[in-house]
Order: sequence, then structure tokens, then C-alpha cells
Amino acid sequence: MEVTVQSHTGMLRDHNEDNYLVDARHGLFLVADGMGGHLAGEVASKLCVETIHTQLLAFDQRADTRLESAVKAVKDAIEVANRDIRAGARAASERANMGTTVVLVLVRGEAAIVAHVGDSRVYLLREGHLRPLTRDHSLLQEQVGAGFISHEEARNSHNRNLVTRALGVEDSVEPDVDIVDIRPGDIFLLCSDGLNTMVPDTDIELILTELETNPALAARVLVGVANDNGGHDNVTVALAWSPSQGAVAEAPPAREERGLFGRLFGWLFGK
Amino acid sequence: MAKLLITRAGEAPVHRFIDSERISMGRQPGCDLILDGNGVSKEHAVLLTIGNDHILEDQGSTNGTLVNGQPIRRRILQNRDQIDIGPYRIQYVNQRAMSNMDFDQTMMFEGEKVAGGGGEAVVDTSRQRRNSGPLGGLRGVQGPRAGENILLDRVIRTLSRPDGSMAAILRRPKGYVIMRVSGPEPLRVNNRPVGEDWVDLATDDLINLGSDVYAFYLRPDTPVGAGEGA
Repeated sequence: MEVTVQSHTGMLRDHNEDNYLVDARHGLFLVADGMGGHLAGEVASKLCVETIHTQLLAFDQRADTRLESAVKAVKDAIEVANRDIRAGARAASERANMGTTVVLVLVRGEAAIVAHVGDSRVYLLREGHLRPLTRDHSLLQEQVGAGFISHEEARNSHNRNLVTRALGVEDSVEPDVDIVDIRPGDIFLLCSDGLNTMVPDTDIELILTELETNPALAARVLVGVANDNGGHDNVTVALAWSPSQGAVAEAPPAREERGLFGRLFGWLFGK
Repeated sequence: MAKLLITRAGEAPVHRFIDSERISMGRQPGCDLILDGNGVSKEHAVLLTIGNDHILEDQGSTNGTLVNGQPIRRRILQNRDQIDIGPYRIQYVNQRAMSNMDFDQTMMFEGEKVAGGGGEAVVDTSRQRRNSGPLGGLRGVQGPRAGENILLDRVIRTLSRPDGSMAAILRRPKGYVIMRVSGPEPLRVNNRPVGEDWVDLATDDLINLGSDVYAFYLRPDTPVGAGEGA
């Protein structure tokens, strides 16, 4: 898989509490939207993506190729990140209420493990059709799910920002985890809610479809349109795609964040 | 805190802060907000607080509950909504809802969680405010679309050639921008090359994608920046 990322503070806020980590070599893509104010949000989201990355690299070293092992590793990594954020919050009083959402895609062969906590999202663009792979842990989604308000009424709600699950809030956290098969030409979109609260799904679909030959440009345009529509929140967009013949000839090489092992490996084998 | 401003002809207005999760309104003495008058049912309506929302529900009243002149069964109140119950006019005032900004920062919901759910469709949480600046279009000057009028009424539109050369035009609040997307042929605007860093378009600009030529226009009857804001 190849990947491109854009992250922007938005038009109204003075700092960016989103963090992301993309590691194309290990097929791991993460976006986290921190909360807690006074810079605590950034700390929580950064701690989250770094901890999960470290944990999943350690899993990778074990060369266990079973999918169910990877699913367990993802759940465990999120749990460790939750614990680390709780510990960080206890250590500094100004971070007492820090927390974060997280959304991740881990590629294992032909399968993608999709996990999330909170209201950051993963969408899949396949054959020109965009569909969400995650269901927000938010008050609004729960109200609609319980039949209390309709999709139509949800547009008038002020509850779109209230999450019902997050890392850092309780001693244990329960992510939703799904497995999706990957087909050539698929594009996975990971985003913080600064994208989908500012840009309707139909426009996200249109932009991704029209610009699928240049995902890096698509990511920039998505962030640009979120800001054009008001840019009320930080916005992060990561696009990970499985190359289909000829379609991505122009795309720049994937960003890769290599650890010491990765660099050594690359040096030894000329990658 | 959000409040209700309750008025009745000939009487001084009364403020009521929305300080509990359920406020019943009606003629009956047990109601949290007693509205005594003709056309008010015993328990006429209730106001529920869920997260940041205040939801007004008619309780099957005889004469109905109106919000901004329309009868409602249930409505998520918006700042400055006018509620009519019998002879009472009630204005809903929520300072936080004015800017809307408070409702964009991700926060943990501390209240009671809603039971049930699962399997339902994912909510489209986007606001109903779209970028709708001035409307423009393209006239095909040379190439397979010569003589055609292409209205640029969507957020994005691409121009392409069979060899995969592609440009995209993005509709923004104050006008249009163009950028090169992919393919072998260069994109030029008024003979200047354009890359992935988008550039503004102005009326009568000539766009060349390879040998295809288009002329851009802005419709003069659409004001710049129209539709911006809430």
C-alpha cells in the first residue's frame, strides 16, 4: 500500500490536536484526534499513535502471520496506549483530562484490519463508491441508532462533537475492530472529524473519485474544501491505496517512517 | 446556559433557565413550567436536554405546539426559535449555539449513554453549509468539446484527454481554481504552465490541456462570496 497525509489546524483554532503516523513498510496507518485543551490534546494523540506504532512493530517482529493474532495485537496495542495516556494524565495535573480518538488500518496481506475508538473515521472508496467502514462512538450516532432521532433530524443536532468512547477516559477501552479484504484500486481514507463535519460524504466521494489518479492532490483538495466550508476544527486526511495497473503512475512515493531496524534492513537489502 | 424567554400578551417576560434534563410544560399544577391559559393542555409539551441539544416534544396536546409557526411533534431547538403554546410565545435562546464553534471541538460525553443501536447507517455529520460562491463555467473552444457549455456547479470537475492527461477545477467560496492532476500533457492557463499548486481563474482565461482549449467565464449575476456563512 502507498500513502499520503495532510494535516491542518483549520481556520478557527490556534493549534492542531490531531496526530498521525503512517508506516507504509509495515502497512500501518493511524490518525488520532486529541482532546483536553492546554496542549494536553496534542500530547494524548501523539502518545497514542507512537505507542500503537511501537506495539505493532514489536508484534511484527514475532513473525506471526495469523490474522486473528494481528487483530489481538491491534486490540492490545490500543489498550496499552490507553494505559500510557492514563499514566501521563496522572503525572501532570494540566493533563488530567486528556484523551484522544484513534482510527487505524493495519494491512496484513490481502486483508485490512480496521479499528477505531471515538469519532474519527475510515472510509473505503471502491469502484467509485465511498462507504464508511467505521461507526462513530458519538452521542449523535447512538441517538440515531436507538431511533430517537432520524438522520434528517441529526443535521440539526449540536451533538456531533460529543464522543462516547475515547482513549484516556476509563481504565479499559473497547475498540471496534473489523476485517476488510483489499482489492486493487481500493483507497482507504482515514480522517479526523474535521473532514466529515465540514464536507458532505457525497463531496468526499466526488473529490476522491475525480482525483483518484493523484491521491496526494486529492488529500490536499479535501483539506482545502474542509477549510473553504469553514474549517471549524483540525483536519487530518490520510489516503492509503492499493495500486491498480497504471492508475497511480504519477503518484509520489509513499512516505515512510523508518525505525533503526528499517533503515538497517533498507541498507542491507537496498530497499 | 440556554434559557426560555416566556411572554404572554400584556405581561412582563419571564426567564427560565434550562437547568434540568426534563422540563414539562402545561396547565397542570405538577408541571415544571406552568402555562395557564386557553388552548394549553394539562401536560402540553416537554423539553428534553440530551448532550448539547434541547429537544421540544409535543405531548399530544389538543391545540398543538408551534415552532416558528409550524406545528411540531418533536424538534431539536435552534437558537432564537419561537415556540407558540396557546397564548404563550416562548423564545429559545442559546448563546453557545450562536457561534456553533463550541460544538465543533471533540469532547467526551459525560452523560448517560443511549441504549440500543448497532447495525444502523452511519450518520452524515456534515453541516448544511456548502461552499456556494459565484457560478461559472467553461466553453469548449477547441478539441472534442468545442462549442459545448460546461457548467461548473459541483465542488470539483475534471477535464481529461484519452491519454490520461487531466486537470481539475475546484469551486471555492470566492471563485474557481485550476490545477494539473496527472498525465503526459501540460496544463496552461493564458499560456502559463500550471502544476498541482492551484491558480485562480478569471473570466476569459484560456485553458489549454494539450491541444484542447476551453474559455472560462463567471456568471455576472452571481455575487462573489454568496452563500458564505451559516
